[in-house]
Amino acid sequence: MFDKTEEILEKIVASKEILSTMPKNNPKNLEIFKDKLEELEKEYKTYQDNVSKELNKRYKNAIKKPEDKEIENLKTRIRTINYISELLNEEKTSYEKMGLDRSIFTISRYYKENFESINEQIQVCIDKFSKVGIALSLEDFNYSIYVKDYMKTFFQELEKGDIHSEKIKEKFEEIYWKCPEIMIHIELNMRNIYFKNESVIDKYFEKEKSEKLKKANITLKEINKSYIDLKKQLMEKMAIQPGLIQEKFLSGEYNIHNLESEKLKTDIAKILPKDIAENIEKNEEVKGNIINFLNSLQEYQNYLKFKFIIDDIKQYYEHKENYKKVYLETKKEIENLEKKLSKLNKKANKKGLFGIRKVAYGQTQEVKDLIQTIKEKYKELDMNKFYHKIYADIHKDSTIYDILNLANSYYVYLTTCLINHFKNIKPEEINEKVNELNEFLNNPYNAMIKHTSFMEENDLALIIADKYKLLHFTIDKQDLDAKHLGALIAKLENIQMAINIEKANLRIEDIKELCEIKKLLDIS
Amino acid sequence: MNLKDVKTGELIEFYRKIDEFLKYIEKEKQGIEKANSSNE
Repeated sequence: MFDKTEEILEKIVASKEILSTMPKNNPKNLEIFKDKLEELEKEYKTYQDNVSKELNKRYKNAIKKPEDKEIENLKTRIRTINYISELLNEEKTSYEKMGLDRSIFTISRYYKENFESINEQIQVCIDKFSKVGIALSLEDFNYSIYVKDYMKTFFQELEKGDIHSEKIKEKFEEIYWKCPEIMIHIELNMRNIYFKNESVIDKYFEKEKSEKLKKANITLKEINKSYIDLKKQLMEKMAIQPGLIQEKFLSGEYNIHNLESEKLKTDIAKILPKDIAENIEKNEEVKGNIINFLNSLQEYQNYLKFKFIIDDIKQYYEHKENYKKVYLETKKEIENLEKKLSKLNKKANKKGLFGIRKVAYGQTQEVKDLIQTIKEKYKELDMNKFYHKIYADIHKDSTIYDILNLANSYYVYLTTCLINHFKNIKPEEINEKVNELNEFLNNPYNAMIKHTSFMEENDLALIIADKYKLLHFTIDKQDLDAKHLGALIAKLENIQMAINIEKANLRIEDIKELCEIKKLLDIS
Repeated sequence: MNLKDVKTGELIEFYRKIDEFLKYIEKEKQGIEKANSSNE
């Protein structure tokens, strides 16, 4: 250590000795002792301040920017490809492509949401219609007089840019006591608007699809390949981007102590034979195999996480013939019920001489019951649409990926399946799971799920274990049990991180120091 | 105080030692406060 700091450390020891020998037996001595403490405190705070400034300076100099231009370019290209892929998605109808399924599902579960988020979703629906060329106005909201009344205020406040205004709250309060189902009416009205305009919306997406394909001069197959290549490039670049690596440790996502030399050696020794483990640093092939092994395990872990969806779909697949006509039949039933509702509404609004309404509008029991029936039918329609897709698109050779991708394309089915599987799941947790599934399906390293039929009862754990045994990994099928899998993945992630740190020209020791400085100086 | 030539690891250790000593001082000061208040 530098002389001066050594000197100060020796002085600390000496000062402690002096303090311990000072008499404190009377007030005068106590005062002298206190003065000495304050003198030392002042002196050492100055030293600490200087050290703190130097550490802070070094910390700032060592922190790398977490982004670079190449990563940003890749992200932009992937976003464009994702947009085109979404347009080309054969599983989704224009309803899902618009994203109306998500917004309307949120409105339908108004009792689980807050008033503000429901109004935001109403605005989102209006924006989504506008995006496909359908400008909604008050005229479109005629499901009931209550919807019209509420939406009149909504449009007025929307124009002012304040959908959370007091006026809207007051209007809701006023209507709610007359019609507690007001949000259901709005939900059904939105669905009705979609059906009335379905062919126009379908045409919009057809046009958009051909324009984007022409512009990009690419086919669906090329898009998939291009997506996988770009996503791999992005993930590889991000994995060795120095700033992003530092961020992972400084945010606490990774613990630097897991990368200490002895721990890493133990982790490697558990998965590789001694002769390979000892020479791993120079063996690029083995390093590559470790990363491939990790990718396979993560894919398997995700498969296990979402296996309940595959099991659920299998049940419907076994009776697929039952779902041949269900969607169109339910749709027709809704059309008829809505015609009836429209007639009843017209009757209730009928005006007499001089344009004066004969009777004050009140929601009759007949209308109430009818709306309730329509609501149930729409619920049925959402599920029947999905079951019909199983009938039409799924066959015995469909892969696990095809099945999960179909589920991922139908938000209402997916959320229903999640709610059934995870009892008491919260709305934000539903979205977390939906995002996790989406991320899993978009992982460019997926291999098994794209090549394994969902009907095969293959032992994927055994297939993985056998493959990596051939590459000299010392593992057994039991290591891939749900109980042990997480720990095995954590070990491999640590090894992968150590490899990436080396590739990023960083040093584990330096990251450890940064973490310590951050903690010591409480840097945010 | 020139700290430029001190290695970061040593500097962290140095900071810790000073911090420990300052905490020791603080504890002693609190002891005096306590003694004074009980004498009163």
